[in-house]
Amino acid sequence: MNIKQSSRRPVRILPTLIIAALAISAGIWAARALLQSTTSVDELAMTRFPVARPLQPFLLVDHQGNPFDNKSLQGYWSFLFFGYTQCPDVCPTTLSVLNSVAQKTGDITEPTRFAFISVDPQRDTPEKLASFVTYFNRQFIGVTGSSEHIDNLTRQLGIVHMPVANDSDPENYLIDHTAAIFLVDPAGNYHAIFTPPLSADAIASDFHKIVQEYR
Amino acid sequence: MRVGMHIILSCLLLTAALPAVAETDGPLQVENAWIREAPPGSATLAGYLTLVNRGATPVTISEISSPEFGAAEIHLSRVENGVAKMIAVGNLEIPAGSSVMLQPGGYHLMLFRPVRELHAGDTVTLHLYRADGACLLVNAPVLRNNDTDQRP
Repeated sequence: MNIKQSSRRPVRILPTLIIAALAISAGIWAARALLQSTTSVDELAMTRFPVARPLQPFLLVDHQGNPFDNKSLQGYWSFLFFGYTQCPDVCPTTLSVLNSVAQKTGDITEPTRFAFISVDPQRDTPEKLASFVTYFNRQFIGVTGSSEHIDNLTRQLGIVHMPVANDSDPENYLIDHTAAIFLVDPAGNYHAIFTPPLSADAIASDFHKIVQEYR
Repeated sequence: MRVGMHIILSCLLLTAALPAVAETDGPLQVENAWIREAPPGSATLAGYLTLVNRGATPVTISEISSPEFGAAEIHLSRVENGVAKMIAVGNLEIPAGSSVMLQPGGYHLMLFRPVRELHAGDTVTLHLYRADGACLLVNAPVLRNNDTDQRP
């Protein structure tokens, strides 16, 4: 009996495995087809949290010398982008995209603001940030602070930033940094994240939806 | 060093001979060159252009310079695991019969230490040195792009 059973087992397992493999492939195919048909490019750009996450206290300073902390986020939708003023490609490109988002969401009556937060406090003084951010949009806010306080906020948002040596021009060192845009809601909670490739149209359209649902 | 001098000299001669625009060098053509106007006080600017190689052999750009800047390099911006990184590119090859676009968020010219503040409307001269020693002169306008990530 025992011998018979063990000799039959492999024969029965093989068809089961084949059926299982077919079922899995069919499942993957169906899921892909479904995702492709229902997921637009807009939705791919944004990750919205089912429950907005509160931010622990932080204290930074804006380009006019005013405190920028948790209270500063209350009552506004805030787009936060982290970078540095010596960044010639990605940061100006993202700030241009945010300026475009500002124009495309001008019809939204809820107060909204855009803050560029430095991950390079050694070089980015409030004065430097003032001329940098207002170049892209007069309403934009530049934010800096001590490394410790900046890290307190970047850690909460899962932001990575690290200096990279620049051999040909040591003073003009570069900084690798998270390229995403973060959205904080009027309660001061971390609400959504927009990840690259960043498109002003997609962000503006997602933001319209978010604001409407939040009302 | 002698080679370097020779290259610079040949580019200067070209400048003298063709004061207008010399944006073709045999099979290599440069299109849509522009420099992004930067906020006041910026120590580094970015430049963009498209390199078109109509020839049957690959062309390599190995060096960039500009009289308007202390130093110039080709860099590549890349997002890896959500982190924006920049990598200096020593040699940029344009395969035969194809083109390479230098554009925001990708390959771009890193232009360090401008000798004067540049504004939209200014023109910057760029020297693109091929690995075989030839020099290509490009005049790029400074443009303000504030609404899009594309060439204005």
